Amino acid sequence: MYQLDFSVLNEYLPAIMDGLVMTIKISIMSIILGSIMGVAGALCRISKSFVLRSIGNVYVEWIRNTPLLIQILFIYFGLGVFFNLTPMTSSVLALSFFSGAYITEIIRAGIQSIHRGQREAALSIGMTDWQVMRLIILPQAIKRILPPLAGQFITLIKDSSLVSVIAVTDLTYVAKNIVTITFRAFEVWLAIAAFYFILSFGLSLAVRKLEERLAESD
Amino acid sequence: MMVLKLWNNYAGNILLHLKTLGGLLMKNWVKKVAGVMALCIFATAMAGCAGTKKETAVDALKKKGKIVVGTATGYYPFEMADKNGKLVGYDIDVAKALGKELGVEVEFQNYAFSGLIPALQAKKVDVVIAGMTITDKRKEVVDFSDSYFTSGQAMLVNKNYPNVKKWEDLDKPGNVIAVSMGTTADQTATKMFKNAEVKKFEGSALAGLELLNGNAVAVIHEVPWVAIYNKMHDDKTYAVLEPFTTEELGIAVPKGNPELVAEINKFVKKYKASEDYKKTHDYWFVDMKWWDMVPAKK
Repeated sequence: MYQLDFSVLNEYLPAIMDGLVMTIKISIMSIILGSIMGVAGALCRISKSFVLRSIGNVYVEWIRNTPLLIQILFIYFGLGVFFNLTPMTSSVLALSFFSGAYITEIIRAGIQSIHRGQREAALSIGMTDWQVMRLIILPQAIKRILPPLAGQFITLIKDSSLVSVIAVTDLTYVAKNIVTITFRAFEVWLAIAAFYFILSFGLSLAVRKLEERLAESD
Repeated sequence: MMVLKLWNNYAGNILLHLKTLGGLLMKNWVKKVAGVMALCIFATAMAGCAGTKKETAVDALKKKGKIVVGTATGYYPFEMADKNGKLVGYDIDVAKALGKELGVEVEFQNYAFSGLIPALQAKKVDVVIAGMTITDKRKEVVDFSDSYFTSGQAMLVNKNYPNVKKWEDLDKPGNVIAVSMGTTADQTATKMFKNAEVKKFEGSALAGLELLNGNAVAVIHEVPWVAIYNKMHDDKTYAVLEPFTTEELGIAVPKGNPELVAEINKFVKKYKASEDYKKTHDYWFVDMKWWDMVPAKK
């Protein structure tokens, strides 16, 4: 019978911590870069220019309709034939492009959900398009954007586990390695799931606090 | 009458408790999480209890009528996918001969190599035939048959890194050695290389791809794989085929099935002395008549 033995976690704790740090690093970089791409994408999608709108549409549809794993493998092994991309660079690029597409949609939906009357009233008192966006639309839109945005960030932390297939030494890669050495699949995977839970839930709590503070202005 | 009254009483009580429990579960998500975790632990305990068998593994197989063989494609020429996606290879032929000997059908299940032993432990497969080396570490968790093939580790080197004669030549800082995660190549490389970086991939195919893209200086794997991969890509690679380890390949079986191991050992002894063995061995390793069946990686 399989005897549970959690002591292997103790033995490999330094390696697990290194993996955790790598996952956090990749997640933070991808969240930041993804948000930048998301804002750019959203502005493209609501822009008056046909070219910009098309670029935004193609970007979103292409990313949303292909699996993340395929995107990671394509960037590292596919584009890797032509460019010299390190696994770290490929992971962050893939995760940023991926989350950027979803963030684009979240921001766009948030902006477009603000009543037209707001924009019309602002324009009628003489504000420029840019002032309208900056002073009226965006502050209100942010409150609507924050919950789904947080959800996307949490998804990103979990999706980052896929970069283990291109030998990035993140939490999942370290776990796979430990399992192949110790054969303790149950204990190791349970512990790793707990670590991802702590990361994601921690982020979720932080965002909830932020939402409460923003809601004070309501 | 009395029974009915008692029943109504109890049923009503139970329903009330269930409703309250349901209400609590709806409201308090902490209880939901605890419930799911309790379920997981319960299921694991149950799975553990299912280990007590009255019949032997061999009888169970014969009753089932089939043996589920776990393998990991990508290890040339032991297990590969041909142009139609069908599994072919030396191990495949060995498995089919084993099935014939036991009088059962053979069903193959493909896993990543590092997932094979967990699959065996979780009883998802009956045996593992995947060019797997017999090691003491693995013997702690699974049982092996007698050796059915002898092999050794060799090196596949990037042509941009010439004049490698022994593995020490590769062990320089900044060099990346690619291996398939969980294999003895992985364990050997991790132990041996002190200066070079060892990168582990799911499957030798990705490790080879890393080499072809110029991101790794060498792949460590067993002689047959190195020889064939080199032939497939001799524009970018060269091989150092003199093995620097010796590996005995065995068929892996879940622990606690000595009769199954004995049965398989009988088969291995018989097979190695048979005509079939020589024919199969020459087909996969010497003449390599299967070359055009398998898609070339160019």
